[in-house]
Amino acid sequence: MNGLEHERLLLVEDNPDDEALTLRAMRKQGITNEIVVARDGQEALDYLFGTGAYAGRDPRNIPRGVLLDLNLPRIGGLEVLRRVRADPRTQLVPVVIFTSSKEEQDRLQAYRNHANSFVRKPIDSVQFDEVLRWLGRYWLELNEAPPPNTEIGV
Amino acid sequence: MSISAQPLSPADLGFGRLFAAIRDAVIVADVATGRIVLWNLAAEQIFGHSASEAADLPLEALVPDRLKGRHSAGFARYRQTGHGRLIEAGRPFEVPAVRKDGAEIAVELTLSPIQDAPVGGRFVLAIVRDVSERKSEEETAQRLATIVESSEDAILGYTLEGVLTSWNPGAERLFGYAAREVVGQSVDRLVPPERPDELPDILARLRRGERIEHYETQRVRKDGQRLDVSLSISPVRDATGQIVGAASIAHDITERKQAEEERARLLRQAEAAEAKFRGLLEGAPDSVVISGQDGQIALVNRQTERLFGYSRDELLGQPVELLVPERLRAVHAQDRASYQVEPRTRPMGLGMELFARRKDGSEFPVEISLSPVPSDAGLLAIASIRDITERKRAEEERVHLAREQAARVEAEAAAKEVRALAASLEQRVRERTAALEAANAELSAFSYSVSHDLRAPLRAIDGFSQVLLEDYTSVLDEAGQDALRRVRAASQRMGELIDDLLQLSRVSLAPLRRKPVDLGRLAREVAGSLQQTAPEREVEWVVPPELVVDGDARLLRGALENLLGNAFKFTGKQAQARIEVGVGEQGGEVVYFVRDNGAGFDMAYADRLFGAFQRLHAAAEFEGTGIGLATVQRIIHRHGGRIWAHSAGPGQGATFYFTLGPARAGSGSAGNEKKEEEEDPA
Repeated sequence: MNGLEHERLLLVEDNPDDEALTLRAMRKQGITNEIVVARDGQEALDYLFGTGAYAGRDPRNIPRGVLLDLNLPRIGGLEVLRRVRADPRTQLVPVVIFTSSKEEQDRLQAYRNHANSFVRKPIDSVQFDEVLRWLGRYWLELNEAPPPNTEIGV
Repeated sequence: MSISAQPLSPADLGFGRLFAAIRDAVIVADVATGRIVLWNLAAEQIFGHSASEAADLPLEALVPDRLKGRHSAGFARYRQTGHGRLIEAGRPFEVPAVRKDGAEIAVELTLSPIQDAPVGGRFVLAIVRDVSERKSEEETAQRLATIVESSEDAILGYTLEGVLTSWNPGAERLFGYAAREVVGQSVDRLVPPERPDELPDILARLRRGERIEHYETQRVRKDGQRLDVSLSISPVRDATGQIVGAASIAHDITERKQAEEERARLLRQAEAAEAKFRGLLEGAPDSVVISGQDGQIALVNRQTERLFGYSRDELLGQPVELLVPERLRAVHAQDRASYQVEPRTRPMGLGMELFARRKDGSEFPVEISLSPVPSDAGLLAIASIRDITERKRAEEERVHLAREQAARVEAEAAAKEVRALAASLEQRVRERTAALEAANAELSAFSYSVSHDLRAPLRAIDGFSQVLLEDYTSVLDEAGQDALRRVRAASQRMGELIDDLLQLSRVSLAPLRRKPVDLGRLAREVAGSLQQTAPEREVEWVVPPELVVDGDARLLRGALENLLGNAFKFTGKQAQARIEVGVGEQGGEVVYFVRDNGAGFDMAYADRLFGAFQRLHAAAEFEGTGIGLATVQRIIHRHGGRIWAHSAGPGQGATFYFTLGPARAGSGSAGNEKKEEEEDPA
């Protein structure tokens, strides 16, 4: 793999329509970061922990951010979040829950498992573009990333 | 020869003075003339003739008429022959004689001839002793002896030493001894051994000259049998008046005694019977009232006094109806009359409830048993009256208890049934609950997946329509672009519908958690976010500083979001929009309201407001899915409250009223309540 791993973004999205619309909106908003797409929870974990198809990848090289859908095949979004937060190597990765739902239960569980943000996917495509513009500006321009290769705990 | 003219003197005959002193009558008669020539004092006394009267009195004058013939004959024979049976008898003989007054007396006569009298001649000397007294005594004795002999009573004599001297046939019959067996024996064989003092006592009394009369004691017969006797004992004196013995008459009173004893026994029996009767009467547990033919009370017992409150004196002689309740008296008197016709022992008023009346007028239930008793005074009726108040009460209690028991049994059966029903109901409830929970869980899962899965395609529809509009404008004419814009609008609208449906569903599914909620604060927060969606709008919000209610904060927020959202929406065309939240009271009920001065509605559609998907306004005019008020109603209903709306008409604004059920109303609302009430035109 090439490119700056710490500038990569991980999009966890099982719906190809949403994936296409998200990628299109990101491009439209001028986000040039490399985007890795995982199409279910397992794939996302494989990437993050350097397992499966991503075996050998150093998990400590955390991506710049993760857009994580909740409703995912195989392993759900909340479980992915739990495991990421449970592992010192991936613990600090910024995770934005990006989902259709605004269910209380989902929001509660997301924040309990230390999601950094919870953003609902609007149906209105104009608003959708707008949301991604805000996300890009905030997480990629305004927000400072945690120091690279840092493990927490002993 | 006649010497009669010259009466002789005793001296003439030679015994001068002696003659006068003799107590017997000494009479000398001349044999030749038969005339008395000498008459002493005693003769005067016996015969009543004085000496001068007697002189020359024919001797014959002293002889009763019936014997004069025999006398003359005898005297004549003696004169002629010198012999006479009597004169020669040489002993006194008893003859009757006649006194001067004609009375006959008995005399003892001794005749002797006087010979060789100095005067010469023949004389006869008669010495006469008046034995009339002795004679009558003898006769009496004879009579007495006869009486004694024939007496039924035992008559016996004994000495002061108790030696029997006489024993009549009555005594033989009575005591069983013959006279020869006991005369000369002691009388004490007749005295019972247990009375050792009796005889000495009797003898002592006799010695003192006392007479003992009607002395009742017992004597012993020869055969040992006891006799009851009544003794009359008199002292017996000799001629000198000396007490020498006793005459005892013993009268057999065994029969009388027996009769007396029988009488006494009968009397005792009668007394005992009477006492027994009294005892029974007084001891009877019932009141006993005995009345006569006339219906008057003749006798009552103690129980009657106790039971009726009258004293005995107050009852005796009164009509028995006194004890009968006034309303029944006439009937009772009739019944009493018919009882006299057919008297027999029977319970009174069979099959009827009988009542008696106390002195104080109070009534009580009784049971009466009647018995007729014939008496000298006619038919008596004995009424035995029993107070059955207690028994009736006990019966009632028994009936009551039986009923209770029956009721209990029934109740137990019912309870059993109820338990069975409850059990089956619980089972059904459990099943239903499980089914409902399953349904809820399914619904939750459905809602969840709807929120995710239904929106994604919409987003794709909208998103790719936008792609077409942005990237292919060159190949799409205006109509095509318009069609795509319509596709996008429809997608967005469907997204809203889905969101509202999900909210409605969540309102139904979420548990209700009541606690004090400040509706004022909630309203301000909702108003704040609404205002942010259209910061350019000028709306006057009237919300109380505090309006604490009892409810589920999350659900109430949802309700306010919808109600205030509607108000905000429908005042959108109002230059001076005013939205008010408040509380008032209607019919004793706390009523909250949200009022606006917006579009309002036609009251004809008031009941359609709360149905899902009901809209009164054209979609182009006002936004909304029509599910909001259905959601509000669901929230209010879940609180146990009601919701209704009022509008003076289109353009006149609208007021939504709601209650929150029987809640623990917040104290903070009280102050506002009044204020709002005054301001509430409704």
